[in-house]
Amino acid sequence: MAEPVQPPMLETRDLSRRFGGLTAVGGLNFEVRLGEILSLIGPNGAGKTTVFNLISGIYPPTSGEILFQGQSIGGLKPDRVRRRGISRTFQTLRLFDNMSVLENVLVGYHSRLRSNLIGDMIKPPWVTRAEHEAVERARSTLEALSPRLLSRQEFRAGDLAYADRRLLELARALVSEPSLLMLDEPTAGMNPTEAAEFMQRINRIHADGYTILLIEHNLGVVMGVSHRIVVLDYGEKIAEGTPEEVRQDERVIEAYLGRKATAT
Amino acid sequence: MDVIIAGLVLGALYAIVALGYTMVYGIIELINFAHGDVFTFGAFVAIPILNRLVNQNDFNVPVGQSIFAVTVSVLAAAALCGILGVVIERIAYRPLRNAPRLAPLITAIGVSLILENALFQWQGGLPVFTPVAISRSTYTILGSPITNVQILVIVVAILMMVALDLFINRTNLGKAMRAVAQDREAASMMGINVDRIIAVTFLVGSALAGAGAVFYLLYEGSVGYNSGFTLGLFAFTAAVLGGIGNIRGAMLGGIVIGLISSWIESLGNGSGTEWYEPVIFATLVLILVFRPAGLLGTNTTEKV
Amino acid sequence: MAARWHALTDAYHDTPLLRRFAVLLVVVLAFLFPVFMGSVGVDDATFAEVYVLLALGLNIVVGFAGLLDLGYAAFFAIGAYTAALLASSHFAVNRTSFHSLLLTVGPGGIHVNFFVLIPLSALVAAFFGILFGAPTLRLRGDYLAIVTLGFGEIVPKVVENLGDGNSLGLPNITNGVNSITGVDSPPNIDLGPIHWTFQTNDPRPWYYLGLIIVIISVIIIYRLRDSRLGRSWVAIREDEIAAAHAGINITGTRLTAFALGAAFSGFGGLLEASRLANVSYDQFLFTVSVTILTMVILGGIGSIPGVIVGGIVIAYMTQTWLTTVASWVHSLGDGLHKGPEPVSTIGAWLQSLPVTSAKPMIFGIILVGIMLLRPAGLWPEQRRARELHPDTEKTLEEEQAELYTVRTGEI
Repeated sequence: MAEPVQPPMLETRDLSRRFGGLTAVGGLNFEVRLGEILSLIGPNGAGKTTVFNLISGIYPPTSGEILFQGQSIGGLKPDRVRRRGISRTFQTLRLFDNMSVLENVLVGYHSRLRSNLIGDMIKPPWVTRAEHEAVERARSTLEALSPRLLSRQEFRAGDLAYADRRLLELARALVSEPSLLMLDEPTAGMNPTEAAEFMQRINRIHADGYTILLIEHNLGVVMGVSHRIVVLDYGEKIAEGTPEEVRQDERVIEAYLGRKATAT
Repeated sequence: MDVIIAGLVLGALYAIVALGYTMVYGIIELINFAHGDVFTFGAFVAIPILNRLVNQNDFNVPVGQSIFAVTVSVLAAAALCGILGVVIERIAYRPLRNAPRLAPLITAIGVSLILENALFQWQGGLPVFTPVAISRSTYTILGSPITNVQILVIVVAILMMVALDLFINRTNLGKAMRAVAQDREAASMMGINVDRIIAVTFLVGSALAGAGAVFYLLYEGSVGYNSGFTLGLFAFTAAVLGGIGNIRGAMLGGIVIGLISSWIESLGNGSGTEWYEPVIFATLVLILVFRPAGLLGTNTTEKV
Repeated sequence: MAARWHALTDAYHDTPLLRRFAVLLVVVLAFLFPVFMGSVGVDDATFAEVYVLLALGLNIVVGFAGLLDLGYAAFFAIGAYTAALLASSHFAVNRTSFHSLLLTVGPGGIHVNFFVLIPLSALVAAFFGILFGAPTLRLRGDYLAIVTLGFGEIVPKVVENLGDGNSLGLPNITNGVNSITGVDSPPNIDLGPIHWTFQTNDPRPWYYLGLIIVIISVIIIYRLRDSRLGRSWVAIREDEIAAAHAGINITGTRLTAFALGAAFSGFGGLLEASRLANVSYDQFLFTVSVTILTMVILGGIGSIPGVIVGGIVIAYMTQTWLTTVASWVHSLGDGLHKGPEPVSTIGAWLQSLPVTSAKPMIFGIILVGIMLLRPAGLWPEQRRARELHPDTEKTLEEEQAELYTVRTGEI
């Protein structure tokens, strides 16, 4: 595959995070290029979710830098990160269960909806119009992902079936048209059919022009969908490359199979 | 020096009350507003006992009689406060353990109102005075007078603190408490009875408040139905200053707050007595701004 | 398409015809109320209006943002004192004299026009809210409870301490333990058939003023609830981390709620100060904060109609019902006391029953009772009811899990 020369969308430089004495991520360097699907894989506890949490601002890096579109975002609060154009989903679903499906998506549009206190109190026509536009956007996002979700827009989010909840979280992340979409194990808890279906959706989203950073446990899924793969073990990068390259990498095989062999 | 001694005594009292706040917050992350009123309850329990056991008109109480009276009232106050604490937890907090955080905070303030008004109905709105249970004798330290009661309060507070520290760090029950504070779910999976541990926490914290109340009485000579509420506010400030959830921090915080308030109170022109409350409150806000984890606390990132 | 928007458009359009009619009826009855009632009844109702306004404001903090504000009376005091200091003869300026429609300064004191004070009292209170809320709200939400509690204790204390000959050697700022009297009334209003003269002996203009303010506030609060900001409050209550990742500034959003609540309280203070023409530090003690909190909890956290009803009930309880009940109980006691032995003991007990002084206990029982038995209040808000009843939520989840296993089992 001929790789176009593009500035990286996201880049980490010597990114490290320690919790007490434990180094969850140590000196990590990798980049996400515009328009690609990059997967972050590795055994349990390799630090994948920590990397996500660092990028999205749940906690600041202990050291190192995170550059997004050339600007440093390390240590920014999550809402700031989102405003820069990065949105994410969570490994353990985090929906607003008592809000309706539509409201969940609208919250995702928050960063794109301009309003102020006085506007919200008085509701002049332009604020109302912006709200209506937001509803239209939310609805079209839902429709594009799953017409079934759209038909359930008034449902309480907590009442949806599991796979629909996953989709809803995706819709909430997508509605603001982020420059970078980060998905943390989106197929966790799904059966193989559902997972395959979900990955097809991801492919479609990618075809719409989204850059995607993916954490995935399921290697089969990863190999099929990713352009490039970064493999983590004990918080460090042990391999990087196309799915074929990674598949043949000795250290990756050791990290996965070796561990499994000792475990069983 | 006078100021320092008064501050240490006051600080020791704050520290004892602060322990209850810090233990409860450490384990269930609840500001137990009723704690200050449990303290007042302890004092009200002790007053009739002291009245019965010492001669109210005699300022020269034999040492044996003093020891007996104080011991009995401390035990009674600690026992009844401990029970009260457990009952409060059982009725008002336990059913709400999985509710949004707002819910137990609201019941906490409700329980505080109920208790305080009950104390008011019981003893009336005026301060209640206690007989002299220990004859005063005054010693001199570094040129400043210090009474035996002051020494007693400081020594007792230190003893309580050491005992509590040993209890938390050395005994199995204490270890279980720390485990529950760390991670309730994990603790329960390890076979720890979480409900029981939380009850024990309330028992110990409230009992300490009850015992502390007796020493407060010995030192101050009187108590009003709402004394505990304000004292509780200061003690909570002390707990935050020391690092909430941290036992040794509560002690340190109590002493710092005690020193500050006795220093402010000593300022001339009456401004001291008028302004120490605002100053202590301002201290609380400043701590929250500049060192929210407290003096001995560590910054913990919220679990994700 | 228009019909689809109803998830977030004005609550009014969302309500069925019958409810719209009910709302209209209530408003009409409220306007006709003084026609049927005597002067005392209208005065009590005006008192209730001020408290309903305060409860609506506190509901933004407690109900919408899910934060506990235990010093709400402090902002009430700040608004009242803003009015009292800037619209009374308290600050006499002897050297200069200035007169205009909006502001008069001179030996007769500073007199700022009531309509200038409306935004001013709210802004001053909001400023103090931000001053104390900002450092606290960066931390965990529940620290706010204790800081506001402290704030509520301190504000009356500071007012008390800054009187004539205060210990700091400052000039007389607040008149200390002596109240400030002669607070200005709103200017008289003459609009066609409406002639409102604001005097202490006629409560009706005050009642109408209060009613109009409450209605405007209710409309504003409904709009806030259904706005982007209102959605953010719910989202933060539901899941702070997910809300932050959706681009919501947690601290800022909470602070907005807190400051808005303070603004309503400050505004209520202005109304109360000019209505009573008199402010004193002991009108704003902790009991007041608790009273308003009880209104919110009793009516239903987050529920606007609930809070209005809660406010009216509690206001009337403190104002009249409690004394009425006390006199019933005591006269019953008097009657029984004359009877034979066991009955007379009960009579004596009833005679001495401290009904009126038990107000804090009644509030406490309401707070605890409601949270334990009916956490969403008497008139629950839909979403709050779901949040506060974890048991029902669990069964839904179980149901869902069942559905899920059935479905996957088929595959």
